[in-house]
Amino acid sequence: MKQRLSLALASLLAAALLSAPASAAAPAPFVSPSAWMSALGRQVLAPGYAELARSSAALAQRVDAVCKQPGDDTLDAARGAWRQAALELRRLSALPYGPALETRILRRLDFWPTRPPQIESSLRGRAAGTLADERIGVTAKGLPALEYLLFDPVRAPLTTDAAACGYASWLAADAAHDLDAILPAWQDWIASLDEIDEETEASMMSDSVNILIGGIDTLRVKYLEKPARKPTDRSGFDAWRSGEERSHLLALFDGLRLGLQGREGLPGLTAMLRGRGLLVLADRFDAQIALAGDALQALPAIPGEDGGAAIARAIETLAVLQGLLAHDAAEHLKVRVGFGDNDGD
Amino acid sequence: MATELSRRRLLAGLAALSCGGFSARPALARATACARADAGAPPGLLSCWSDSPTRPTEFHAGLLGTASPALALPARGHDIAWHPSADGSAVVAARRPGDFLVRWHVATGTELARFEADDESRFEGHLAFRPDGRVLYATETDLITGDGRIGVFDALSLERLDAWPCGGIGPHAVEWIADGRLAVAVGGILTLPETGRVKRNLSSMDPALAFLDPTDGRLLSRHRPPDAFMSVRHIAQDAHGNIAVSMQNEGRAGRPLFALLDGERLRYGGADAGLIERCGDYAGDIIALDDGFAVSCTHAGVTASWGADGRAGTVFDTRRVCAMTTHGDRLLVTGDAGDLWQLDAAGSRCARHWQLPVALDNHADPAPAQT
Repeated sequence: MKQRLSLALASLLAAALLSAPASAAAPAPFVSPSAWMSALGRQVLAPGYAELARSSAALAQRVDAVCKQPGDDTLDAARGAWRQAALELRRLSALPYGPALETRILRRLDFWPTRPPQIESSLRGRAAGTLADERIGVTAKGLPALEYLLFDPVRAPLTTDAAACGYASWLAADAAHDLDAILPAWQDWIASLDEIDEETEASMMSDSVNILIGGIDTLRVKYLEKPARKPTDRSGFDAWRSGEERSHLLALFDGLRLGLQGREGLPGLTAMLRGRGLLVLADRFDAQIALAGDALQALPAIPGEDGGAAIARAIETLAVLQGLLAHDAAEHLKVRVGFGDNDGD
Repeated sequence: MATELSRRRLLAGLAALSCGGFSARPALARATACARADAGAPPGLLSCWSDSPTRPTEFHAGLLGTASPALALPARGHDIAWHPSADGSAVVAARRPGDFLVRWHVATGTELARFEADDESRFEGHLAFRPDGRVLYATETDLITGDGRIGVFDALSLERLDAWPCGGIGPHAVEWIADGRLAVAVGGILTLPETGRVKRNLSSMDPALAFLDPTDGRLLSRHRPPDAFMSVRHIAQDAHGNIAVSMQNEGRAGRPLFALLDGERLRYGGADAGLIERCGDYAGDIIALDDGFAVSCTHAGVTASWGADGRAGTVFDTRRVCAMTTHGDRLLVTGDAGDLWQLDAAGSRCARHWQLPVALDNHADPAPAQT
């Protein structure tokens, strides 16, 4: 309940800060939703998913090497490959646009929290030949499941468990295969953005803004609030087994920031706002994004053990940012927010 | 499932409220009929509420009209029902797309069991019990495929037992039908977790009223509304076995928000252009009368009734009307502006009206007689 209160207070604060009327001048170039998505697709998403496909293929090779030559060296190399691929995935997971949304690839690669009993059951069934690959569901697959097999401090290491190693190798290869399969879709999607009618632009605006709201909500609630409900227990945090909790939180926020602010040569939401004369609102976004970024940077390496105050601060700043987006930006951009609590059944 | 009422008495009350009779051409009630707020305690009513209808920040479930502590919820609750065992517990389902089912002891506010959905599925707002109280069914969506399904749970521990396809996407209400089937309101609207409640398939909707075998989830039959843009949301069955649905209109042409299951097809209730316009595009709940039905038209702020034969009944003002249930032989109707109307089924007027300082949610269950 506290988090909901903080979101409300944050919204009020944001409203107060924004009480000055937006400037009528529009010195920045107008950016359409399709132009924004096209630039994001060309500069970030298509190359990002191609890189993730390569990283996943490398991970599959490294895990396979563990199975063929069990030892600390091969296991360390596989763990390093997982860290790289997982970090890339976490950054991209903030921006599920285009083929990422349509193919549900992130849902298939990123099921979390992990379900160790289902992973164990699936690997035993697969090793025994009683469970066909196509019957293994997403709850026992993906990079978080691989993290469990590679890093879990309690289960037997892959170097001493041939069945688990074989399953991990298959998981990594399966992820790489899924990522390879969607790569052509990125170019098709980007090309499709060249000729967009008015109705599709409006729909794209809705998706663009709602996906960012959903991304902030996910970071705030799924990856911070819920894990923090168990003080001193790090096991609720994403990537806790690999000790990458903090870097994953920062990677997710980096992805969101790219969507919100863009970078040199890449428009973000703030460019859309400025192009519509909403300069004050865009400035507030910049300020709040900086505050949220600082708050996340202040998280300790193991947030679940000693990050209480820092987590609370990060949640608070993200709530303000979400309020700005869901209430102020959405209203100005005429977007119906899909994450509201006041719209029907 | 809406509780039975005496149709004659209730419709007499509604008709009087509307200053008109039960006819094919409904008359609009004077809004003042229920306007005066009652200072006394409202009847016990199990429901969910929040602190604001427009920017809610706090969410609760509990028994209104009593001193029992409210259960704090992490987000809006939606469907809510007493456990059939009459052990004083109740279960609340998260509003769609939601991630919790909670069973708690209502008098003490003590949580007894909880199920939290993860990346695999989301709840779609409604639940139903098997009459023996051992099994609970909840509407869900598979987050990978987008397919609608019925989650099957132990009704006491809320442990998941199974999940079945439900005959389409976007299920909302699920109801236990008197002949032992499960009825599912398949809304036909695809939403994705990444975009919240944004509707993604309005040009290809396929809504239906579906019936499942509650022992194994087998799809027994599927009944489409006359127009594919009418999303089937809620279900009620009267004492004679008639089954009706309320709907929301996702198209541009006006349509009745009420349909009866007539053999194999869903047939719109009678409505002239005036009634269609008066009811608007969204129905929040439906309740069975004796041989008729009442529908809460939330956006339009009216309650409308139809006979079991499909003839239009009456319509009267009930601003932001949501939940419909009964208290004894009276109809209780709530609004998200905090209104609680009690219709005097035996008399000729809206018997009482309370103004509560909360935003009441879409569904409610009356307090048991002993509470």
